[in-house]
Amino acid sequence: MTAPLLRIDRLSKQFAVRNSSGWGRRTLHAVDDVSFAIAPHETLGLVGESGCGKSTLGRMLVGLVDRTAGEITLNGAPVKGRGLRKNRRLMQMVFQDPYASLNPQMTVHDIVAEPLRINNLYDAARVRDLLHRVGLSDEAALRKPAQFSGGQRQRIAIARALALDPRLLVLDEAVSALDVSIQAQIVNLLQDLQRDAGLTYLFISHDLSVVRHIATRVAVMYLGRIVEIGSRAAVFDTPAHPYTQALLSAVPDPARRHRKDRIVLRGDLPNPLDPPSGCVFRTRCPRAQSLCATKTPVLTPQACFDHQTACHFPGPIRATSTPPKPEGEKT
Amino acid sequence: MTAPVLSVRDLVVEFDTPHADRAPLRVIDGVSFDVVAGEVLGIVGESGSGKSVTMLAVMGLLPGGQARIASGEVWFNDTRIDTLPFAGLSALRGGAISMIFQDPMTSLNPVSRVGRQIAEAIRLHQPDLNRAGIKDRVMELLDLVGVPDAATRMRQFPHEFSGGMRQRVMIAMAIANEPKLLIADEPTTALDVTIQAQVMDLLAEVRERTSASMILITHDLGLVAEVADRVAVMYSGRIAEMGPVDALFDAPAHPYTAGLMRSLPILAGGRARLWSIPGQPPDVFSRPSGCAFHPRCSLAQEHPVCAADLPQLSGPKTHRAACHFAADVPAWIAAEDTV
Repeated sequence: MTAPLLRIDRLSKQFAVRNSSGWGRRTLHAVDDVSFAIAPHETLGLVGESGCGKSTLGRMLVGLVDRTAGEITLNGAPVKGRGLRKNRRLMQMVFQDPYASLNPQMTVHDIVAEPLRINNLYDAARVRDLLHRVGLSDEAALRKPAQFSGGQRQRIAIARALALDPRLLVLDEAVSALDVSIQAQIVNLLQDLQRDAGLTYLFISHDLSVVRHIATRVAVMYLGRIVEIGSRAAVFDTPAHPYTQALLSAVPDPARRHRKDRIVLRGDLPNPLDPPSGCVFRTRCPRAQSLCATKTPVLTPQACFDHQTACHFPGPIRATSTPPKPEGEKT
Repeated sequence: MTAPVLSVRDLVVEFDTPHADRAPLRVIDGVSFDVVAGEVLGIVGESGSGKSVTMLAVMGLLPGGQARIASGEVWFNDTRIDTLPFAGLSALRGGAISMIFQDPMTSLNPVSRVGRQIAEAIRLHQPDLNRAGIKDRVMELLDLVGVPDAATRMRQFPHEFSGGMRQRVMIAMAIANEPKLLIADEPTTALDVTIQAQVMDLLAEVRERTSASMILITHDLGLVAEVADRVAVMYSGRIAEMGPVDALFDAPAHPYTAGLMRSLPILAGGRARLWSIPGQPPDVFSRPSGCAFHPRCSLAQEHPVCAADLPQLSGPKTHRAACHFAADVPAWIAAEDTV
């Protein structure tokens, strides 16, 4: 296996949250002991529902949020202290909302030139070239973001992220706010750029269909932890964690519209300030046993080493008519 | 054939522009459809296609002073409702027709207890019910929509509920008076997929009990495919195609519908590259001449008629498309597939 471009090791982020009474603080584990590696030129899809910590993880990588514990290694060198500024150029981010992430008072040219100017690399020809690469004309450079649609704005944000020749792009819900026909254009653009410039992507999304299309490997997060990680084929075709199975089953899909075997999870996401003991998914899990309440499962290799699941009872979807009653369930 | 519950005929909605010298904008330009008893009609379209404005017009909720129904008729059973005075509309809204909005946080009153808000919906339409009767009904409704521990929950405020639970409260409110027609405008867009599955199951259960019809407005083609019986696809203020869900998904007759389906990254199978519709959806200030889709349509390139004449919905009665060359669409899809 090639050396990974990015490796994160036991990364955690805790936020101190004020109690609703206003007195005292409690600890929220937004990201809890997460480790994985991304190989050069691959796309790791990071999926999960809102509040699972996927955006916090992406922000920690590019240094927008300080980490509480853990190591980030880029190209074999640790990202911290003085290494951070140099490494920031190699890791760039594209945000979800192209209406909020571009300065409305700057021209498109200045927006794309800003990272270059900060690093004393400004070159007008390079800005033009960047705009061409994302499919924008020279004439667009003089206008301001308000004159562009959502899809066009996301092209501008991508051009800005590419300005410093990064190796890794963190795409945080980068196509989620776009309409279907425009979303397809941007997904294709991202794939073309990856092929031409040898980019590596961390593609954060709640949309499993898009992740399946664009990712080579997939990690599934639930309440701050990775519950399953593996190649796209392993996670989508032979999911072993009951949460992954339920998530995949819940996605409405025109091609599967007549199926009758949808898994519907009971209940809501637990309060992250007061997570369940043991396995955090056990309160909604159809397979939970007494062991799940006492012992936290760790990522364990499945059929192939690359496919790992954090579950005490992994395996294919079972045709059990009576799911075991979860013990110790909070009411 | 059964008589439609809701019938919309040639609806035209105009919005005033800030410029007094300009003509009002035709945001909805001649939309007609029927909803029959017990069915689910899905209305899909991208942002700005007019799907929400159509429903606001039906409910008489257009922003007054800026927008109006310029022509057309809306019939609910045997009553024409677009000309009803305010009092007549109020009797229908929340009663026989009710609406579920996208964002349950902004549609609930944050400073009023949940039980009180549901009670208000009941009291307005059933003035004879006494306080105890209303309270029992609120508990029954919360129970029905799967909010556990109704007696405690009805005394809580919306911020004490999760997103999925708030949407359940909205549904409880919408079905409080056993409506004949539910209009759900992006009911699950703000929710996660596992919660979306719960809410859609609940809506199906509720409709089975009350045999209400439903109009489901969404941008999610997958959701429409799983829930709707018939689908209308909107583009730039008009219906581009309308038909039974299977016919529409298996054999789309409008190039826009076909393009939308093919831009979807579907979960079941991997394509190397997504098909994408070139260009941008038109904005209402500068709608293209003729067929509004023609600048983005490769089928239209050889046909000057597409830029000149507005196509009308045509084809078999059940499955109609507004395209001059609907008959050529299957061959065109096949040709595009081989490229």
